[in-house]
Amino acid sequence: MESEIGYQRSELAVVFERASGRVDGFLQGIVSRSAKRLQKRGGEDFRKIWKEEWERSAGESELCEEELSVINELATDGYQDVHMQLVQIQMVRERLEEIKRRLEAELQQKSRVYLCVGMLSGMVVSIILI
Amino acid sequence: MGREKELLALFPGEMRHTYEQLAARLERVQEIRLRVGRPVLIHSQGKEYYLAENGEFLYGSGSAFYPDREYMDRLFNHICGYSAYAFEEEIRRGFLTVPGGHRIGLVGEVVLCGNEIVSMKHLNAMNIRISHQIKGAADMIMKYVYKAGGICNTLIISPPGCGKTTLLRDLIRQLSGDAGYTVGVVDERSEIGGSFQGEVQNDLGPRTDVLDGCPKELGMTMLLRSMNPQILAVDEIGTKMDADAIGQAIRSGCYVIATIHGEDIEQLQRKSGIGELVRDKVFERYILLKNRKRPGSIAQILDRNYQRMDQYEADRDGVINCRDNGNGCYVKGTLKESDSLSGTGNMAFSIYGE
Repeated sequence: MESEIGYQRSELAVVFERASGRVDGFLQGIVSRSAKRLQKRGGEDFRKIWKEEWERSAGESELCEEELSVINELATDGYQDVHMQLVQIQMVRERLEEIKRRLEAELQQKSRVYLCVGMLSGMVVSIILI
Repeated sequence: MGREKELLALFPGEMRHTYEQLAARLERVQEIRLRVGRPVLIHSQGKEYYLAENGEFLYGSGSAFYPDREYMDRLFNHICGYSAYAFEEEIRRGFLTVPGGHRIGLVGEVVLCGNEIVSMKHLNAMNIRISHQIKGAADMIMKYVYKAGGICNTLIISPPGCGKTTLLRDLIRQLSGDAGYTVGVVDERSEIGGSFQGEVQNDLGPRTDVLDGCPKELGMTMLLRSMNPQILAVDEIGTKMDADAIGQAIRSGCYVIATIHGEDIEQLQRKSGIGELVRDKVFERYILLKNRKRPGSIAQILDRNYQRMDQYEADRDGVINCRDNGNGCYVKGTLKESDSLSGTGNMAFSIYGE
């Protein structure tokens, strides 16, 4: 998206259309449906399109409210200059990376607990059997 | 997509009802002017109307529709496809071209970096200029543009809003069509071709190459080098650099057809750059337009010596016999009963001579 916007100066409809070929799963659905709705120029607000498409795929994406709200920040009214548009994307990306780091740390912590719980459960079963 | 739908697609869904009536009579509409806190104005067939929110054309501003800033911002974002960044350059130049070749002029607070305009914010007015391709608009002038073995270097002159671009567009289409000429068009403001994302929206004929968004003086040189056109067409020339580029094109053996803002030949002669071309008799035809009954009305056609070519006198039998001062040809024809015996107007008679 960054290179499409930064170098090609493509409109969002084109950016999404091209991006839909490079992603898969539920994300492909969101991106390609957003592109089609934008290309149709049916008078729909982009923020509304983006939000609705993510909500529609909420079951598949399993993202929490906080994560969805960060993703929704990608849909702005559009800055008049490319630099500002790229800064906005970068800010969203950094916030998503921060969430990812936090979740990974939580996952590591939780996996240690699960490992300990698993080992202890195993030991208890062994003692009972002995 | 039809032209009516194309225009409505410029507006977000909830705004469209205001412009539906207008879209239905689009062929007669020239401009839609929107200003923050001011009534919406429509220019149609030389008259001005106020627009009501329900789409009615009004003579008074009493029940007119007054857009607010939010309305304008929402409209602007929609026009840009929520990608204003993609139109950075156009915004800097003060206008956008949209599908259908319509042009949207923008006014707001200019953001400067040094002496350079970098952007525009707080847009407070938009002027939607409806693109009209009138096929056949140049029919009346075609016979004056041809000369033995080629085309006359032609300058179309008129005040703004008299149909210069419409005439030029059709002239290009006809010369590039059956006449078989390769035409290079430098379309600095995307008005001739109405290009949107590189795609020419208007019919400019099968042998036309369009260089879109390029400054005229650079574009003419580029086209001469790259596309080898037989005819170069440019809109709204005016600067010394434009004049130099035209001089160079003509010296290269290319014919030039151009338009310029102006009232008459005397005014053009006083302009620097272009004035020299006029005084040096580089142009062989001058087409002067006036906004009489409708845009594109031809007021005068002059030859390189500034003599009227469209003026004729018929004898009592209705036979016209006069000399064309431009290229030594003679014209001859017979008036119909309904025509007056002298005056100006369409000539539908044969050209013969040297």
